[in-house]
Amino acid sequence: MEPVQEYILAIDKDPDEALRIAKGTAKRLENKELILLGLTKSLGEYLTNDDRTIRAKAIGFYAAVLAALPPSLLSQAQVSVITQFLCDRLEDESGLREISQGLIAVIGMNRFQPEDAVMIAKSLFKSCDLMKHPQGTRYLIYQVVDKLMLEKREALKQLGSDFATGYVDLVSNEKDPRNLMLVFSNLKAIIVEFDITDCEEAVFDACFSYFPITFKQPPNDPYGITAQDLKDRLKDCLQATSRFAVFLFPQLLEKLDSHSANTKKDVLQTITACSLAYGKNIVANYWSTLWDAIKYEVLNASDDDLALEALEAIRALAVSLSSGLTTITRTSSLDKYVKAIVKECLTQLRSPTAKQAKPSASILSAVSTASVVAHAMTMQAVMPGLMTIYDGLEEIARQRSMLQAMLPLFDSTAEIYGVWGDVELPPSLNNSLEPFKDKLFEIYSKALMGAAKEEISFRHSGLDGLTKMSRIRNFFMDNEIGLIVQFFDEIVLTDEKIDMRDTALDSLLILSRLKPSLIMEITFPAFMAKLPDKEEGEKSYDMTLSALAQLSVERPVFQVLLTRIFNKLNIVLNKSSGPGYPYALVSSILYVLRKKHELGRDISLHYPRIVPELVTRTLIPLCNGSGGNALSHEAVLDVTGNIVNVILRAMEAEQQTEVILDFFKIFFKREPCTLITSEKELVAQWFNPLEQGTSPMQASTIIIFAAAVAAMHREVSLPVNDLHAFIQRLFLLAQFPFSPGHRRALLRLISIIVNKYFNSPENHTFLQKATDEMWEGVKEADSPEAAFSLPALFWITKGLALRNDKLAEPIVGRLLELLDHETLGASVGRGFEVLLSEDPLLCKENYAVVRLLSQQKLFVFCIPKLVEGFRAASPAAKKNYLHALSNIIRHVPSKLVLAEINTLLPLLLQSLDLEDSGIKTASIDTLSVTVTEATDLVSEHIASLITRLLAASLPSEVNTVPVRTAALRCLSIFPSALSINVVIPYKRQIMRALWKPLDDPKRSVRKEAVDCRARWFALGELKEDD
Amino acid sequence: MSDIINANPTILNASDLPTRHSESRKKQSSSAYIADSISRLPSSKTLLHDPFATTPGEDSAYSSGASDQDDNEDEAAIDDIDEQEIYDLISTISDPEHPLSLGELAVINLPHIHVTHGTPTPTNLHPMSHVLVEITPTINHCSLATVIGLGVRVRLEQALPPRFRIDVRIREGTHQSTDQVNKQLNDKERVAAACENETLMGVLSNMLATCK
Repeated sequence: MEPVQEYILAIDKDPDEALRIAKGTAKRLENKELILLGLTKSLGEYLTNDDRTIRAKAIGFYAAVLAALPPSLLSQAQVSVITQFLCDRLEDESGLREISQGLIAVIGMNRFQPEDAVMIAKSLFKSCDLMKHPQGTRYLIYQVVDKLMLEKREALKQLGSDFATGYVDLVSNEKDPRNLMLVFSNLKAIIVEFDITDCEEAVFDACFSYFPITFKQPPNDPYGITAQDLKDRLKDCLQATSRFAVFLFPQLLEKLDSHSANTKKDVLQTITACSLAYGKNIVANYWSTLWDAIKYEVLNASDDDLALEALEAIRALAVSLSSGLTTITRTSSLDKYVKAIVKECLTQLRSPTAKQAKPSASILSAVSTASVVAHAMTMQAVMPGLMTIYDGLEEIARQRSMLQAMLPLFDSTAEIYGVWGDVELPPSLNNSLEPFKDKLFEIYSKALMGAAKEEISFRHSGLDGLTKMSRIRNFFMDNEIGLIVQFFDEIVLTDEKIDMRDTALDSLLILSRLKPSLIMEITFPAFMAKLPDKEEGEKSYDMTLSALAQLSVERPVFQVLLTRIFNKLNIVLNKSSGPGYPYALVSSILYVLRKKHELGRDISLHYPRIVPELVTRTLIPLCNGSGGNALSHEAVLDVTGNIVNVILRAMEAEQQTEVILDFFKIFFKREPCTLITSEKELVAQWFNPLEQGTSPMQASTIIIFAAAVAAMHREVSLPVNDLHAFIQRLFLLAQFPFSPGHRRALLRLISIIVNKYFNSPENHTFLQKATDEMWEGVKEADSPEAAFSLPALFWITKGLALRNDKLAEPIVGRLLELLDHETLGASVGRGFEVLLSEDPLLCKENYAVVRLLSQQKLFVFCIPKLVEGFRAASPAAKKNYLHALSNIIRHVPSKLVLAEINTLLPLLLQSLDLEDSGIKTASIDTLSVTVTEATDLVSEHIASLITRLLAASLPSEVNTVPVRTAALRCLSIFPSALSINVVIPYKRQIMRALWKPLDDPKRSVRKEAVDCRARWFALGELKEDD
Repeated sequence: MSDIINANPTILNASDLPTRHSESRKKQSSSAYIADSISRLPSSKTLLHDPFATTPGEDSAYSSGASDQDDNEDEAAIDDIDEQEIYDLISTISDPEHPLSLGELAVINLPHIHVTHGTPTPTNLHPMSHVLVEITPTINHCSLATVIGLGVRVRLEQALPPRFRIDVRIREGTHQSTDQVNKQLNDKERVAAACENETLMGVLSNMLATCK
C-alpha cells in the first residue's frame, strides 16, 4: 500500500500513526530512497477523487511530509515547484486547511524565494473566499500571510497597493477575536511599512469597520482575549498613520453622538491616542472641529468618567500642538486653540454658580497642564478675565463659586512648576500666574478671614486656595506663607466651625512637610500658649492637643512637645486636677509615639527622656504621704503603661534586660533605682505594690509593671530567683484584688508569664498542680465569692491556649462542665469573654507565643461540648451556655462560626429570646454574616428569623438602640442576599411591620428602618421587565 | 429624555446644604476623632468592667452598663421627626435630568418644609401629624415638576410612619401651572394611577436609587 493511502486510512482513527507515516516518507525523501516527483505523483489519483475529504486528506499527507523535512533539504527549484503546486491546489477549496499547513511548511524552507512569496500572496488573494471557511481554517491562512510578512516582507512590498487591497479583501468580514488579533497586527504593519497611497481609504475602512469594538469576553474563553486587547490593537492601526486623519476624525465625531457611553469613551480615547500620534501639523487642521464636539461632553456630562476622558482628549490636543514650542508664539495653532477654549470658558464662568461653570474650570485646568507654554498661554489669556468677573460679582454665593472654579488652576500650576522641595529643575519660562499673585492672595485671604463666620463654604474656598497656592514652588514668599500659617493657626485655635478647624489643620499638616521651619516658629508657640493651666468645664484643650500631636511627628518638634507637656503636667497636677486633663496630656505623648512607630522610626531612644520622668512622677506622690494625684487614676496608669510598653518593646533584648531589672527593683525588690529621678530612697522604703499590706493606690500601679513585663522578648529572663514563688505570690494577690483594674493587671501578668516562660517539664508539673488545686477550690465553692481562683484559671488557660499547650484543653473542659453549676454557672459563662478575646498586651507584637490556629483549636474544642451541654441543660442553666457561646463567637472570625453554623443556628435563634442586650446584639451581628454566607441554611429558618428580628426591632428595656439597629440592618440584607423566591412571600409582612420602627423614638434607628424598608420595597419591583 | 429642559441650572455646593452637624462630628473629622481618642477618659463602665464581678444577681456584669448615667439618658431621650429629617429623606433624590440631587439644585429647601405634630394624649400617644413640602422647580415651565413631586411623595410615603399626612406642593409663584400640578400631586387616585405606569415607575426608581 502506498504511504498516502495508509495515511488517508489512519488520519481519522489514529492521528499519531498518520504522523508517523508522514515522517517515514519524509525520511525516505531525505535518504534519497524516494524522489519528490514520485511523492507528488503518488497523490495523483486521490487529488481527482470525487470525495472532497479524500482530496483534502491527500494534501494533508503532502503537507505533513513537507513539515517533517529538514528545511535545508530541498533545492530552490524544488521549493518553487512545490509552491506552484500548492498554489494551484488553492482552486480546490476543500483542502484549504491542509494547503495552508503545506504553505506554512514551505515558507519555512531555507531556499524559499521572494518570487515564491509573491506567488503565494497573489494566489491567496485571487482564489480565496475565506469567510466560507470555519474560523480555525481562516486562522491558518492568516498565519500563512503573517509568516510571509515575517520572512519576505520586502518582496511583498514590491506588490505596492495590490498587496494591501488584496489583504483587506481577504480579511473583510472577519469577526473571530483570535483571528482579529492577528489581522490587526498585520494591518498595522501594512499601514506603517507598505505603500498604501492608492488605497488609504480602503485600508482605513477595513480597520474602522470594527469601531467601536463591542466584543464581550465569553466566560471560560480558551484564548483569554479581552475587549481591551482588541481595542488596543485596533487603536494601534488607527494611529499608525496620520494620513488616516482625514477619514478618521469626521467619522469619530459622528460616533460621538451615540447614546452608548462605551462608544463615547472609545471615541474619546481614540481621539486622545491619535492626536498624540499624528503630530502637530495634522492636529492643527482638526482641533477646531474636535474641540467643538468634545467640549459638549464635558459641559453637559452626565457621567464623570466620560467627562474625564473628554478632558484627557482636550489636553492631548494641546500637548500635540505644544510640540516644539518653547516660548509663547502668537501665530501658533496652540495659541488659537487656547484662545478658543478661554473664550468659551470665560463665557461660562460669567455665571459662576451655573452648572457649566465647574466643568469650564476643569477644561482650563486640563489644557494648562499640557505643557509649560500651554500653561503660560492659558494663564495670560484667562486670568485678567477671571479677575474682572470676580470684581463684578456681588453675591457671596457667586464669589464662592468663582473662587472654587479657580482652584484647579492652582493645581495645574503646581503640576507644571512643582511644589516646594521638589528636586527637578523648574521650567525656564516664567510662571504666568505670578503677575496675579498679590491679587489672588488678597481675594482668597479676604474670603477666609474677612467673611462672616457662617459663610462656611466661602471661607473654605479661601482656605483651599491659599493652601494650594502655598504649595507651588517659588510662588509665595516665606513671609507670605508665614502669614497664611498664622491665619490657619487662628482658625484651628478659635474657629467655631469644626470642619473649618479640621481643614485648616490638614492644611498646616501639608505645609509642615513643605515648610517645616515656619510651623515650628509660628504654629507651635501659638498652640502651646493656648493650653490652659487647669481642667476647664469645656474640653478646651482637646483640639489643641490633637493638633499639636499631629504636628509633632518630626523629632525636633517632638522634643519641644515633651518639654512643654511635662511642664504643663506639673502645673496642672499642682492645681490638684481631676484625671481628665492629665489623661489627655499623657495620651498625646502616646499618640505621637504610636504614629512615629507606624512611620518606622525607632522610638526606643525616647526611653531616657520619657519613662523615668513618668514613672517617678507617678510613684513619688504615693510614697510621700500626699495621697497620690491624678496620675494614679487607673485610666491614666493605663496610658502610662502603654507608653512604657511601646517604648520597651522597640528595644533589643540586651537593653530590655537592663531596663526590666530596674522595674523589678522598684516594684518587687524595694531597692533604690536610677529609674526614679528624685528621692529613690523614699520609694524604696515606702513603695510595696506586690506585698499584701500595700495600699489600694500603690496596688493599681501594677498596671505599669505588667505593661513593662509584657514588652519583654522571650529570651529576656525575669530577674527573680524563684519564678514559681513569684507567680504564687501573684496568685495570692489576685484572689483578693482592690479593684477590677487591679485584678486585671495581676491576672494579665500571670498569663503573660505563663505564656512566655512556663514551658519546661517542671514548669508543666508546677502548673498542673497549681491549677488542680485551684480547681478543687472552685468546685467546692458554694458562691461566686468563694470561687476566688476562677478568674485565675481562665487567665492561665488563656496564656496556655495561645501557644496550643496541651494543658489548656482539660481545664477548658472542666470549666465547660461548670456551666451547669447552679451558683457558678453564670460567672463561668461570662468568663469565656477572657478566653478568646484579643488582649492588648498578651499579643504577638509583645513577643507572646501566639500559635496559628490556636483560636480555631479552642473554638473547635468548645463548640460541640457547648451544643451538647445546652441540649441536656436545665432551663435555668441554658442561659449560661448561651452566654458562653455569645462570648466565644463575638471574639472569633466569622469564618469559624460559619463552619459550624448548622449546629449553632438554633442556639443563636434562642439567644435572641434572652433578656440581654449585649448577647442579642452579638447574635444578630453573627446572623448578619450568616445571611450572606450560608444562604441555604438561612432560607430554611427564614420564618422564625424574620419574626425574631422584627421583634428585636421594637424598643424595650432589652432592645436598646444597638439591638434595634443591628436587627434592622440584618433584615435589610435579606432581599439582596437570598433568592427572590425565598424572600418575596415575606415582603408584605415586613413592609407592614416596619411601619413601627419608622416611628422609633431614635432618629438613627428610624434611618435604618427607612433604608431597610426601601430595600424590601424595591424587591421584585423591576423584575417584571425581564 | 432627549431634550433637556434646563441644560444649565444653578447649583448649590454640597457643603452648603443644611445638615445636622453636631451628630456627624466624628464621621467627618479625623482631627476631632484624634482629639476624642486623646482626651476621652474611658468610661467608668469600661474601667470597672469585670466578668468575674462578685456582686450577687446573675447578669450584673452586663447590666452594670445600664447604671451608667449617660447611656441611660441617651436611650430614653426622644428625637422627634423634624424638618431636617424630612429634608435628609428627600434632598438626596436625583433630578430626572441631571446627575445632581434635588438639594443641590435647590428644588428642595429646608425652609420650605413644615412639620406639624399633633398633641399626644394619654389615649393616643401618636396623634396624626402633618408634613408639607413645597417644591421649587428650577425653571417655571419645567414639565418635570410633576414627576419630581411624585418622587418626593413616593419617598415620603415609604419612609414616614402612617400617622403622617403628606402634602407635596409646588411653591407659590415658581411654576406657570402650579394649581394643575398641585391637583395632580395630591389627588389620591391620580397618584395611584401614576404608580401603575411602568415607565414612570422606572424613572422614579432611578431617582430614588440615590437616596441615602
